[in-house]
Amino acid sequence: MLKSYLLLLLISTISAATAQHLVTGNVYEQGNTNQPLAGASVYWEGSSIGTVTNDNGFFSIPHMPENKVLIVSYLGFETAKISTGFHQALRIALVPADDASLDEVTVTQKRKPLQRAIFTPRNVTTIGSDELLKAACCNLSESFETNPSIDVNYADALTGTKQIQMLGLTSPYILFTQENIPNLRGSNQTFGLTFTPGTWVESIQITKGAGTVTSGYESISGQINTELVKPLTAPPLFINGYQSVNGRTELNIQGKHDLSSKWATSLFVHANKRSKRTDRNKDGFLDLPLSEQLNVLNRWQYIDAEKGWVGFASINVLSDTKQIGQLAFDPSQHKFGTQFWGGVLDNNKWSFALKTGYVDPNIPYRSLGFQSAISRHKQVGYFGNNTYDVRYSSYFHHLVYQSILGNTLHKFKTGLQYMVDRYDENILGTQINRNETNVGGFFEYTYVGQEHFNAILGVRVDRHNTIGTFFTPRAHIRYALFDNKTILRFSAGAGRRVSSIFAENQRFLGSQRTLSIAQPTKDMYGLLPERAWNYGFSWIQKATLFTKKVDLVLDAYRTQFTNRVVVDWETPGAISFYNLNGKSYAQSIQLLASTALTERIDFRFAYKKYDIETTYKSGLKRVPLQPKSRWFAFVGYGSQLKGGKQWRADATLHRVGPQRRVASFTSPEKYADPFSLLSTQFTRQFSSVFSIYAGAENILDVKQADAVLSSDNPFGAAFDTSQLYAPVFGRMLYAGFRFNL
Amino acid sequence: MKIYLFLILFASVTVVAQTEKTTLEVLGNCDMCKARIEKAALKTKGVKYAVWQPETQQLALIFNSKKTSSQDVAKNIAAVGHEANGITATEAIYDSLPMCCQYKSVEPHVP
Repeated sequence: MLKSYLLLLLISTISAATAQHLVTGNVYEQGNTNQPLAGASVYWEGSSIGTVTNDNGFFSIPHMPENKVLIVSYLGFETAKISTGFHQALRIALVPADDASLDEVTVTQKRKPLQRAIFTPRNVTTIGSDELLKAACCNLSESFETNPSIDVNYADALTGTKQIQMLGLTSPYILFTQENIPNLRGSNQTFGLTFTPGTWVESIQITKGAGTVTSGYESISGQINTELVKPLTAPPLFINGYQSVNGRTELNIQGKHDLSSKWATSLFVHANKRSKRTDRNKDGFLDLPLSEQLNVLNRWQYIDAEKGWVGFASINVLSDTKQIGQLAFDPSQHKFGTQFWGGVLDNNKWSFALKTGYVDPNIPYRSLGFQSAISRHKQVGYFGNNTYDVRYSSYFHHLVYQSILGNTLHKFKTGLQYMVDRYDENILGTQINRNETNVGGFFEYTYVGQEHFNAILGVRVDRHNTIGTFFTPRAHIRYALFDNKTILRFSAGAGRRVSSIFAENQRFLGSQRTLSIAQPTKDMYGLLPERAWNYGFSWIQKATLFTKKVDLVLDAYRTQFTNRVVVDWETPGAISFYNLNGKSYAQSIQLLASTALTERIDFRFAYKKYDIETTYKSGLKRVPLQPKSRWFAFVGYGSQLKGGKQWRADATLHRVGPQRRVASFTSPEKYADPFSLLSTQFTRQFSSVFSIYAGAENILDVKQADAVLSSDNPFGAAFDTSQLYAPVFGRMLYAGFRFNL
Repeated sequence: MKIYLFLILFASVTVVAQTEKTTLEVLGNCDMCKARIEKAALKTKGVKYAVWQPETQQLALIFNSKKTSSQDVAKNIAAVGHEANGITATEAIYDSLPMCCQYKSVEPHVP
């Protein structure tokens, strides 16, 4: 048996050796065979075999059967890809880059829409602008549907808001930053994601597990950073319109103006409106709120590469209004009445951010950066007879210095952070004021020494007016094996936060649950700060399966709370908040495979398993409305780009496993049935300027029958809209256009 | 806490050290060459920063002039196979470079 294997191996080695021959050719400038290009790089795609042309533009390169595509590149010329004619001497004409009009260029190397970082010690996935276009609509909370690292949950049956989840923990445990400034804190936890329109976003970076100490002590299960479109690189004019059958209309107008080669400014305006009343499940309640939003962003960017200065200034103003509840509810007549149940939520926000950075052009490894941000958010509203108003002011100042220790193999970042958060809340008539002040210093060391090993070690010390003084250590290690085909990552880190219990859990207001909390007006509502450790392991394997290159990823993470504010929904008609007394953890395993089935078709598949348990007063239980498992499959197609014209299509399938539903007055605790969500989108690019798209979400028309519990008696004790595990609205169709000058 | 203070101190010391900036002409082709060239430069004691660009064939170098010289750096780069500032690599080392890094002109192949 062994012998025959050895023989086979021998034969295959011989055949490989004999199959090798030399491919030769000449490289010259297109339209001018007398002009040979000397020094052009010639290499086989996906291999380390390559050469350069000599003074006569000639090259010869060994050819093995696995070498399919020859790449010829030369500075100032379009890169050529050759896949046939290797048996004869090649004559390769390169097109000068300046003359090459966009229409003639074939897209040679497709950028992967989801890029997993290979060389950094952190487990980071970047969602690029191509991938963001696949989202049906329209804001940040809806930008993650085609990404298996992030799970999307439903917040409640009233507001149509989606909740983002990573490693089995909901958004308060994820640190959201916008261009590295924390932006989804405090009172913005519930609706904040809907305040960033999708067309403003340039890219999103998702870090799984412990984050960087440079952006704060709060990230527990991960960090999501959003980069917005920059004034200097923005298109002069971008217009996007969107309409869905559920009555949602969106309009984005984005323009920019270059004041000089160093200064540019941009003005982005977003408006959306839903005025159509829909009630497909016939429970008498609006499936989706009536809503209106106006959102304006003005940014200024400055870059002086010679002197080493960069600067950004942004101002954002937002107004958002939602009407929820029964179809017949009219705020002007029925507010606080008992005839119809309904509510209005008004959100107003403005923020100002300033960023400056300096790099001495003579010492490029050293830099100094300063960021400052101020924001005010006001939410005023009521859910039936339950009122909740919050005014939140936040001040953030951040100074960071980057340099090296000895040489650029050892880098570090160090700096100071100062934050003030002011909350002025009125919950069910009780006034609560909170002030939080934090001063922190951080130091992060990065070892970039070797290709197969690098690490980031960070620590920060914070002094918080209510938490006290504490250390936050975090570590990330990367180890690569087999020529970067196998990448192993380990991470560990601590995180802390003060829970803004009402802002984060305001969905309980859409019920007749009675609130129970020991000392609401004390510091941190009389509760302890939350504290957790996160440990993670990630294994990326590049493999070849049936001649296809496949990326396999295994991620295993555990978050262990040593202190947590437990939100207890277990008793029908009640909600209580208390400190953890026992175990609380979230554990997740994700298996992901992604591959290009052909040059034009991408495929992704993922399986995720979750164990999320917390000790309630009634014992250790699975956290409600958290699926035990999720399956994910994605297929995307893009036709060859010809003359700016292209077809694109994709389909995504999510399978959501059983979720625990807490006991209600009429039903004991039970598990909801698993369900599948299928969505698709088609895009026709007519030119590099204009495209239209259309799609369908929830094609299988899945609806939760009892989205609103006791919908016939909204003023009775059993009324509850907070226990949503599936969509309220069924199948949804939409269409839109993009005009991109 | 002590380590933290020590590191900051260490960082500030390196800032005041004597630095010199220069560029070297280094021959090479691809990203594999880039990694090898930069590594050889950074392994030279006193070198703080080394970035090589294949398009320009230039290595930007920042080093402590008390500890090393651009000639020492060029020698160390030549020792891993890449001609630097006119210092050539030995034939044996050059030949051991992977195919894509063999930067010398390929002789015309006569069929």
